[in-house]
Amino acid sequence: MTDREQILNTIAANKPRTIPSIVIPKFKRKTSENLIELFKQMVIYVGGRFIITNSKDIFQIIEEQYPKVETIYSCVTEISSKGVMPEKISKPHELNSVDLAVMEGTFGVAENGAIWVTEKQMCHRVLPFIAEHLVILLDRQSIVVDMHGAYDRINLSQVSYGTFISGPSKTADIEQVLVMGAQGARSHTVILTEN
Amino acid sequence: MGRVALFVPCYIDQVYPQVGVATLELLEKLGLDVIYPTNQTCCGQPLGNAGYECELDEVANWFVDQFAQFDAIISPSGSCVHFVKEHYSFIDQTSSVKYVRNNVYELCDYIVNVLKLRDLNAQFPHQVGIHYSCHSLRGLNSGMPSEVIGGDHSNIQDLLESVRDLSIIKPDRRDECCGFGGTFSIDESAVSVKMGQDRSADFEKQGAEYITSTDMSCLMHLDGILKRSKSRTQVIHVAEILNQTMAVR
Amino acid sequence: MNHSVAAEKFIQDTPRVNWHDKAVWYIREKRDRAVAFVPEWEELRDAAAAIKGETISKLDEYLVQFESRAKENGIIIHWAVDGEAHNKIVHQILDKHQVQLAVKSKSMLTEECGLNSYLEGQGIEVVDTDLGERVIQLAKEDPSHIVMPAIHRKKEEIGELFHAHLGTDPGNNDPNYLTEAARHHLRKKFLKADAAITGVNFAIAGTGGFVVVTNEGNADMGVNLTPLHIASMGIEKIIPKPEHLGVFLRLLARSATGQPITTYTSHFHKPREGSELHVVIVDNGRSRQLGQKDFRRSLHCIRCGACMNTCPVYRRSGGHSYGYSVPGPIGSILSPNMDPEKHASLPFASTLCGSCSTVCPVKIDVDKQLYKWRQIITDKGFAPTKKTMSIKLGNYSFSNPMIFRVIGGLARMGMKLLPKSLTNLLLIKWTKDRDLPKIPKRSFRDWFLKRERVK
Repeated sequence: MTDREQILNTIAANKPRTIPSIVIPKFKRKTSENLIELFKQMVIYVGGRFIITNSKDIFQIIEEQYPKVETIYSCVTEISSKGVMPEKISKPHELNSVDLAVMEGTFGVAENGAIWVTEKQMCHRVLPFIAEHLVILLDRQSIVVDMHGAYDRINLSQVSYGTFISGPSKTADIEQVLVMGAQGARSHTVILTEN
Repeated sequence: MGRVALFVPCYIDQVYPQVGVATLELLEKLGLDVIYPTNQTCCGQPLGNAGYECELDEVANWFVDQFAQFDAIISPSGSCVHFVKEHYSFIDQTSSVKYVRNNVYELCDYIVNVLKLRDLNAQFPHQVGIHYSCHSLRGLNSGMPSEVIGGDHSNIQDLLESVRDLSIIKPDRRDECCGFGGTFSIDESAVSVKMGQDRSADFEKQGAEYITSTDMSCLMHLDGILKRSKSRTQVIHVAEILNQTMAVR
Repeated sequence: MNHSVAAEKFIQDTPRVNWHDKAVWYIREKRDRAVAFVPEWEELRDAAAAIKGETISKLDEYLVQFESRAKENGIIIHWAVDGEAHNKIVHQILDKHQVQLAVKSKSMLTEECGLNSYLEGQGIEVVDTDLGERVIQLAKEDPSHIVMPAIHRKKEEIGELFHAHLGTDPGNNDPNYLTEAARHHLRKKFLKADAAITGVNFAIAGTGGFVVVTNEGNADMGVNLTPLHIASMGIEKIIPKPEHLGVFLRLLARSATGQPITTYTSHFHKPREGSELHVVIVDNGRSRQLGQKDFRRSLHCIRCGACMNTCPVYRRSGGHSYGYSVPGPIGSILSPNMDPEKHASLPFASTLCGSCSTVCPVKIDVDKQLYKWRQIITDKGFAPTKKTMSIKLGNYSFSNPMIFRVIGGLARMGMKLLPKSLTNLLLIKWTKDRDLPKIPKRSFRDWFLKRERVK
């Protein structure tokens, strides 16, 4: 008997009587909630920076926020890269030299400041993690209230790889002291654009 | 209301009779017809918690026999009441067993939720810390545990808030366990003592003159530690506080 | 491993146990603050418990569905009955790809199976990339908490470890400095690794994918650089649908650390182009637990660690006192299923205060299961013998009122008449640190009967 057969047989013999599935309740929400304000508070709470702008010159905003950055990898067609040529990258390891990555996010989640980013938006799966700094652009209309709203928007079976990113990489493993910039991005900037 | 029975836990009968006295006197002052069945022994909690539920039959059935004919069974011990309600599921569920399980009450619960009284005309001019017995709080839902967000009301607090001149002292950790846990206090004595020392220190540092609870077992453990450290803080069962009436009703 | 013996040693260092207790209690407080922002928290718990309850009642169907969808996504599925089978499978995959260095993110399942030592025995270097896990790996010890594996370690000790292994400045204990050093050290490992191993937080049957959460980003760093990703998954990690993630992800981080969500919540459905993605589905006693009516709800566990943070016993005894890959309250109801004799002391390492059950995001009745395991352990004869005798005596006296009164009276008399030194000796475990109560002349019953006579 294979391990698979053994496991499935034991489960079949041991499982309890079928319990019916539930419908996740719709939780009450205040209709007057200012989602952008809530999202902003949470982005800052989780250690991110938050900018809301009507400007079309995002590159300038990034340069203002990060004057010392030498290499910028842009996954956004309207924003040019700097010091790195995306088309020349053959191995993800080469991205280790990227100081800053800028990409678009699909939507933000107000309750926790997280942004859903898919593989297509990040160009390389490792990019949001390997870059020293991460900038994510988000349409200000695309904020959902909570994770239930988030999964309403995602067609997960069509997602090869996608991640929620909430603030910069962090750890509190050394005596509970919160340190930003563990293995992933040291800083995380959200730019809410008009669109 | 009819006839109610007084269930005096074994260790209160043997070691802290004054708690049984205070409970009986208090219930009589509140106008109840209280019977104390003199052949009661123990609810069997030490057996169950030690893993010997299988030996529980005789003790539990004896208990049910003593109390089945009363309208309610009241006890100054949340943990014993919890044991009967929760763990008497093990024995044969006769109608008497089910009846007793449904009609056994911890004292404060009975006063607040059955008699619907809060102010018992008691007076106790002291700083008193409430130690929540875990079995009362989480086992019998006698109040809001701190893990659940939604205020801190409880039966015992409701009653003590109405006691004249009594100042309620709140510890930093609202409802951390005292560390008694029955046989735990012997089997894991190091942890038990450490928990008790931390718990009593939390009250002492806030200036509590007394620590009170619905459970004498918690208080016995804390008292052992307080006395060992020659503390001025004393323990007192809530029945003894509530029984300090200014005038008899 | 006897919990009480290990706990006693831990407690001897008073400043240390106080520090450990406060550090872990602080996480419970952070949890409370986070929960206060979710008015529907108790409803979420109900939903999570209901979803898990339904899932395990159809666990075989959901696992087969997951396997089928995952295969369509290009994921390679393996099944392992136990830890040994798991380790062999993982090794075979690594060996086939000639892996010399594997990076691993936090996975309690791989701890349970003893994967690291197995692979090292086969000549493969494994680097744990979660900072806390790396600390204990360098210290050659086991994790003491499932979310914060190095919570028992002071920064001075971590400073010393990093000085010895990473070449940091001696005496520099600043967490920022040490984390930075770890970042550089681990970055080198990520860039050099041939394979990455992760756990699975949630596997979605309906879509054939899975979710891995971290705060550091170490799981994604590892898997997104190497051509081989192996994810180890317990059979109970399955959930039916994507929308269920909404419930669990709202509960998990708040329960674990008081954060609204972890920094990274990564969803894997297809392997990266040019790489392989394997999932090893592991039983290792879980299907047996499934068959035990009283204990199957322990399979709901999402490994948040909230029960450890709230447990007054865990905080004062430390994770190493439990002798199992998962310590604390949840470990004490999982481990007896694996080895009731070895872990016999664990269900008794509790006052049954119930705080664990009240914080559990998936409403596992931990305290009730602890009580039930006690019955089984004594039944199997693993309880200490001296207890058996006194319990039998207790039963006899408790069910016979005359004997009860006689023994009670004798005990009271004995306590009064015997010299304190002798009584202290008899009850040494109590009296070492606590005074005995004053023994009254009369019992309540005596007082009552006297009052009745007077009437």
